[in-house]
Parts: sequence; C-alpha cells; structure tokens
Amino acid sequence: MSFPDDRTGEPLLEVDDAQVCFYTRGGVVQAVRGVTFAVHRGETLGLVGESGSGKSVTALAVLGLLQPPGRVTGGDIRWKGRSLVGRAGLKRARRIRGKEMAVVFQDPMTSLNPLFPVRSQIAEVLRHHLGMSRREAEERVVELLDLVGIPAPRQRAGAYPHELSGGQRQRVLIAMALACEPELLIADEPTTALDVTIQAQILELIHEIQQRLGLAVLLITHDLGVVAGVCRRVAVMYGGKIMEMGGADEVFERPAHPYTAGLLRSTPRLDVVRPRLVGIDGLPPNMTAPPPGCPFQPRCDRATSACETMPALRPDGDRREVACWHALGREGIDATGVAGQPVA
Amino acid sequence: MGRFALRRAAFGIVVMFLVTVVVFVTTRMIGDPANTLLPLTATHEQRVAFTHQLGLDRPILTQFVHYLGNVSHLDFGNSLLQSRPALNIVLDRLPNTFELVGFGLAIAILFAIPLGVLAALKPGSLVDKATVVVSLSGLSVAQVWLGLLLILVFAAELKVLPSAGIGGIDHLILPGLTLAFPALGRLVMLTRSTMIDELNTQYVQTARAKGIPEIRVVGLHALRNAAIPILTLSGWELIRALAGFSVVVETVFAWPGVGYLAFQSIQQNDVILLQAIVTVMGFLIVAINVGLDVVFKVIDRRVELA
Amino acid sequence: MTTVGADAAVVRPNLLRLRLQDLGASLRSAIGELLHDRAGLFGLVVVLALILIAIFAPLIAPQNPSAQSLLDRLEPPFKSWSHPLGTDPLGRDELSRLIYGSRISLEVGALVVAIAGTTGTILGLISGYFGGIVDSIVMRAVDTQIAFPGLLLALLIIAVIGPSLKAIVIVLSIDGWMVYARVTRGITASLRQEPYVEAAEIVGCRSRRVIFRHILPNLASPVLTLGVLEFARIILAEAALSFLGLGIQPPSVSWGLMLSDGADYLFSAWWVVSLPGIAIALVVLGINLFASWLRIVSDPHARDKRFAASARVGGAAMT
Repeated sequence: MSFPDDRTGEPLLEVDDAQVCFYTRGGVVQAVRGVTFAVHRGETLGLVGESGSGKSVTALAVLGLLQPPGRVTGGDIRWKGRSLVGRAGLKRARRIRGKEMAVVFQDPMTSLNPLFPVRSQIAEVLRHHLGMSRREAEERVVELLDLVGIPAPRQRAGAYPHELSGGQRQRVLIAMALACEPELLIADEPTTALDVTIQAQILELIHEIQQRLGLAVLLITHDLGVVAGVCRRVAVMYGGKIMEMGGADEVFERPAHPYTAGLLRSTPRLDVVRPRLVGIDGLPPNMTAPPPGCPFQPRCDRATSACETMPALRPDGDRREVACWHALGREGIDATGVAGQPVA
Repeated sequence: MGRFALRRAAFGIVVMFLVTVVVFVTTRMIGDPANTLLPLTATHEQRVAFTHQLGLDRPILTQFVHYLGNVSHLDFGNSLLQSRPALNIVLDRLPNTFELVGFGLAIAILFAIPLGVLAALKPGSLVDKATVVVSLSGLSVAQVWLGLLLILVFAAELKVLPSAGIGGIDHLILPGLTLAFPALGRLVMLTRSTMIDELNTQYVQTARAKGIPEIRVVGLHALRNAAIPILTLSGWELIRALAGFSVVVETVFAWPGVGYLAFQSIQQNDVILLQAIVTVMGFLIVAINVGLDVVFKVIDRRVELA
Repeated sequence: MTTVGADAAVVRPNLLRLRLQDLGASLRSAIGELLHDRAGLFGLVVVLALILIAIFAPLIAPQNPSAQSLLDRLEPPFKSWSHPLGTDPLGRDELSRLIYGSRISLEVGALVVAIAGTTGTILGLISGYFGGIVDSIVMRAVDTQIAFPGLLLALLIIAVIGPSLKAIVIVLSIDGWMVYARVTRGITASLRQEPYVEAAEIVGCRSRRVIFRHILPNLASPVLTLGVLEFARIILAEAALSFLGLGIQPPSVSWGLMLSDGADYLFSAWWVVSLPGIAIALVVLGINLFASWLRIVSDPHARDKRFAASARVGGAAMT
C-alpha cells in the first residue's frame, strides 16, 4: 500500500537530528539522542515507545515547552521551514502554540484549571490568538464542544472541570486544541489515563476529526493498538533514538527491527492462546550513561559486536527505514508471535 | 452557604461563652479572688467590702450567672487603678492596635507575595536564595530582640526614627516592621512553595501549551490557585497578631494599644482591666475567625461545589 | 500467626536482618544527604551543641551566672578574660548567663513538647482511629481551643497564678497540644483507610496491635518533625514571656530575662540585649533547619519531591 497523498509538498514539521538533555543533580540525562522525522500536511504519524524512550520529551521539544533543567542541545526542529530552537525559535514556538500547532496531554483530570469554567479556558485561546470578542468566542466554544461530542454544549460550557467526567474533560481539551484550527495536533498519550471504553471513544473522535478537518496528527503512545487505529505511519523509539519508521500496517505485519518485533510479541492477544506472556528480557537503558552504539543491544538476541556502533536509519523496502545491522528479513511474525517464520 | 455561616456563627458564640468561662474560672476560682483582684496594698476592710460588693461570698454559680449577665452587656466593672469602666479604657486603645496590626500585615503581604512569586519563578537563583534567607530569619528572630535592635540602629545610632510612642507615620514604621517580620517570613515561605507547586501542575502546562504569554500563565492561572492558601495564612496571621503577639511589640515600643495596656495592667495588678482586655479581644478574635471562615468558603468555590 | 509454622521461624530472622539493612541504608543516605545539605548540617550541629552546653553548663560556664559585682558592671565584651562577653547591669558574667540560659530554654522546650506532644498525639490517635463521636468531640475541642486568644489567656493565667517556670510550662502546654492532635488525627484517619490496615483488622488483629504495628511507625516521622519545630516556637515564646516578666524569675537565668535586663540599657550597653538575641536567633534557626532536614530525610515522599524539583522535567524525561 502506498500513500503518496499523505506526503505531498513541503513537510509541516521537521525534526532534524534533535537532541535533548536534562542537567539534573543525578547526572545529565540524554533523553533524545538524534531523532529525525517529518510530518506532512494531513499525515498521521504515531511515535511509539516505552517509558523512558524519549517520545514525550520529543513532543515537548517540538512545542518549545521544555523547562529547565531540560534543553535542546543539538539538531534542529522546524515548522514550515522556520526553526523552533534557540531564543528566536522559542518565541516563534510560543506564537504558533495553540494556533498552528496544538497539543493534548495525557491526564485530563489535572489538565484543566479547577478555578475556571470550561468555557473561559477554551475562550482564552480564541481571544489570545484570534482576537475574538467575548461574545464571538463563546459562540465558537459552543461549536467546538459540539464538534467533540459533548452533549448539550451550550449548557455544559459554563461547567467547572470537576463537574465533568474524565472522558468529557479529554474532549474539552481536544476542543481547546482545535479551537484555532491548527494544522498539526500532537496527542501525548491521550488515552492512557482513561477507561478502556472511553479510550476507544476518544480515539474514534481523534480519527474522525482528523479525517474531517484534514489535520496532521502526531500521536505519542506506548500502546501499539492505539497507533493501529489512528495512524498511517509509525516511528518506533527506544533509548532516545528512532529504531524503525514506516507505514503502520507494514511495520506491524513485518517488523524489521528486533525491538519492534519484541514489542509486538509481548502484546497480549485475545485471539491466540499462548501459555505465558512474553516479555523482552533486560531493562531499559540508563539515560545518564547510555551505552554506545545501539541502545537495544544489551537486550537483543541478534546483537553482535557490530552493534557497538549505532547504525543510521537506512531505507529498507518501500517507504521504510530501519536502524539496525541485523534487521529482520521478509519473514515477519506469525500468529503465534514468533519471529522468523515465513508469512503464509 | 447561609447554613454554613449560621453554623460558624453558632460555633463562634459557643467559643465566646467558653472564653468567658475560662476568664471567670481563672480570676474567681484560683486562689483567693480578693487577693487576685485587689491591689496588694488593700487593707482588710477594703477586702471585705470588695468581696461583698462583687458578690464573691455568694455561691459560685450565682456569681457566674451574674458575671455572665454583666459580660453580655460588656460591663466589666471599673478598672481598679483608673476608676473608669474597664471597657472604655480598652475601646480607647483598640484603634491604635488596629492601626499597628493593619500596617504591619500590609507590609508583610505586600512584600511576601512578590518575593515568593519571584523566588518560585527562578528556583536556585539569587532571588530565591535571598528569599529563603529572609524567610528563615523571620522565623528565627525573637520579636523582642528585633524591635530592640531596630530601635538601637535607627533611633539611637542613626537617629532617623523615633524609638517609642505614637505619632505620625514615622512612629509606625519600626513597630510595624517588627510585627511584620515573622509574618513576612511565614508568608514568603508559603507563597514560594505554593507557587512552585502550582507552576508544576498539569493545568499550568496546558495553559503554556495554549501559547499564552507567561505573565498571564503565572499571574492568572498559577497565582489564582495559590491565592487561596496564601490568603488563609494571612487571615491566620491577623488573628495571631491580635491574639497577643502585639503585646510584645507594643510593649517594646511603648505603643499605646491594647497589648501594651495588657502589659501595664499586669504590672499594676489591675486584674479587672486584664479580664476586660482578654474577654474583649477574645470576642473580637472569634468574630474575625468566623468571618474569615465564611469569606474563604466563598472564595474557594471549588471546595463548595465539589 | 499460628498457621505458618516452621516457615515463620525461617522468615522472621530474615525480616529482622532486612529491617536492619534498611535502617543502615537509610542512615547512610541520611548522612550523605546531611553532608551535602550544609544547612541541615548546621542545624544538627546547633541542636547537638545546645544539648551539650545545657547538660554540661556547670562545667563550661566560667562564672556563677548569678554572682553580682557592682565593680564589674556593664563591662563591654572582648575586653577581659574573666568576662569574655562582658557583664550585665548587675555585674554578672554574660557568657555564663548565656550558657545557663540554654538550660532553661532546653528544659522548657523539652517539657512542653513532651507534655503537649504526648497529650496531643494520643488524643489525635484515638480520634483518628476510632472516628465517630470521639472524633467529633476531640476535633471540636481542638477547633474551639484554636479559636481562643492564646497568648492573652496565657497572660491572664500567669497573672493569677504567678510567674514561674512551672507556670509557663503549663500555659504553653495548654496552648500547644492542638497542632499535634490535628496532624496525628489526619494521618491516622487516612492510614485507617489503607488496605493493609483493613487487612490487618480482617485477619483479626486487635486494635492495639494495629495501632502499634501499623499506625505508630508512620506517625513517628511527622510527629518528630513537628515536635522539633514546636521546640523552636516554644523557645521564642518563653523568651517573649520572660521578657514581659511573666516567665522565668530571677535568680534563674533565661535568655528572655536577659533581654528585659538589657532593654533599659539598650543605648549604653548594646551587648546585654544583643547577646541573648543572637543566641536565640542562632538556636531557633538551627532548629528550624534541622527540622526541615529531618522531614526530608525521614519522609520518603518529601525526599522524592526534593529530587523531583531539581529533576522536574526529568519526570517527563522518563516518558
């Protein structure tokens, strides 16, 4: 399957060998170590990784929301060609935040200010970026609440956050993000803090809105299932680097990187009977002293001495890139989740 | 809301009653009241007359009822040494105490909040460190010593400000500062830590993510939430000052307020006057307490609605 | 514990060893923290110094603190070896008075913290554990007494019963138990809801066992820290009361009393007031710093918070 329509024209967002470090008392944490990807107009990219992989930090860096002791220490991040790094870049980032690029964070229960009604929190973005009057903003708020599926939007607009459920609050946050019709929506673990049933609803909402408005979406998550529902492309991160990137369907069907394969293997499945859950042996790397070369090397069963040097992301087939000396071939994984068996 | 106010008012009245009981018990039931309430120079005849006059020879419960009746009319009897109604003496001096406490608290709040906010915005910076130093100093110095020190420096050495008494604003500065300093210390510490917590919250992160200028994020989103505990502590500081800490400061500076009056009445063994002071101030404090409870309930809607 | 049998015998010694290891590890980390945290170190030094000086006062003080000498009155400090810190208006040696004054501060502080702390903690514990009417009554009492005009009532009481060490201990204890009760009750009540406490009760542990085994250890740290902070506050309160003439009476020595002695000679003999003032400030500061270090070290939550503050987005760095 090819997707030329997803990637036409200049990219909206370019992350170019970005590096982010945190200077803490316990040492320098190298959270992001050379990440490169791009998001085009209308494209949906999933950034997948476990805790500590650096995916959320990447999002914060893109948004210019890194607080000390964190800093972008290398590479560049560009929005429509203009840099978002450095003093001028951060100013630029603040101007486009909430307007051209918007974000929805993980925990809806704490993401809204408890002292202000929902309406004023959404109106705040409208009035700041678009200069709307109070009346105009309030009308638009009702429209937005309707868009995200809040019942009786006009009445609910005056509600305080604690009067809404988790799912509703997340919808409000999405409405707030969409208020100024951004071109890119970054969603950082938007469903992790929600019930499973609500998760599905929210993902459905994001998918629907993306289709309707032609938004680009950067979805950050540790949950492969979430990516599969919403994203056309996926990038797998580990230890601050991207291990593999390509079309979501292809990557999940035929993972090229051993880590991706491991992730897929360890996902519990309802349709296959397995004697026990499979995990990936070993522990995530210590980011204050990351191993040289490939970060996955200590846990990889295909590792050799060559892996002491980090391989660059190299093309591997159609629209796919892998950073591995020993990428899995065309074998893919079978229904029992064992790598190395030819696909039927 | 109204129900809450009513309950707090009822509670307040109960406390006032208890204050009266405690004052009564202390002055009438410990030792020989005649000894307590009369100056030491009183003769035996005077004691007998006094005892009878005050009804100290009647059963204790009768005395109490009688006393309660008087107190509800705010009739505390005449001061032993000044031969005026004790109540009037207290009321004369009350405005001075208000002036001092008001000024002191105003200084404390006016300096504490900006300092605390700045310290929270730049943790580890010079401002932050200075703030912590100021705050710790405020908590550690004895007000007595601070007052005396200020007098020594500004009145004796520099001869810039007067050392005692009431007058224009120059008389207000030193005692006001002395009163303010410990409160400043506590308020700054609270402001700083509350703001740090606020700046770490998810909703402040969300506000930043909306692209709003940082000033608004701090001033509106963070500070509004932080204001609740800060205001609560300020109210508490007000009560503390009135509940007795003004005594020390007023005495050091011979500031003619209720606190100094209390000190003088102890020195002169005028227990009737002291009774009046304690009861009146007690009532005042309870009233302020209840008032603040109600006000804070209104401000903290979140708690109310939840 | 009847069912586990032989396994229990094997398990229990290991638990003990683990506990000791835990203790050792946390002690080592505490000391490490302390050396790094110079403020906390200063606090600890001050507290220890205070205790030692107070205990060994008779051995350390060069002179009898009450020995008057009109010949030597109002001698400035640093002038002679016999009176290194000068003398007061009655010719008494300042250094010795400072040293002996520490005894009073320590004594009053320790007594009040012990009395008020024990009373308040027990009441808070009962209130929080048993809930219901008991809780209502105790908390109502706390609220009521907090609403009282503390210092003023103290003045009245002391005016009636006469000033003395006993008087201020009584008055400060009466005024001081509420905060312990509130804190203890809060912790106890929330612990009561913890699953492991519920489990203990279901298994059939008697209340007393539950309290001692599960609740008390969790109370130790906050109550201890509170006690230390209160100690500092008591020292300041004693100084204020003694200054007003309502506390320690001569011939006993207290820093507050020294302040009032010096007030009259403020302009001519600045050291009489300044020395006790500095002593109070140093001691109270040290105790406050010690208390804040204590809290961070003994309460794992506060410790995490401290690291979180410095590695604030380090938390986000983990996702």
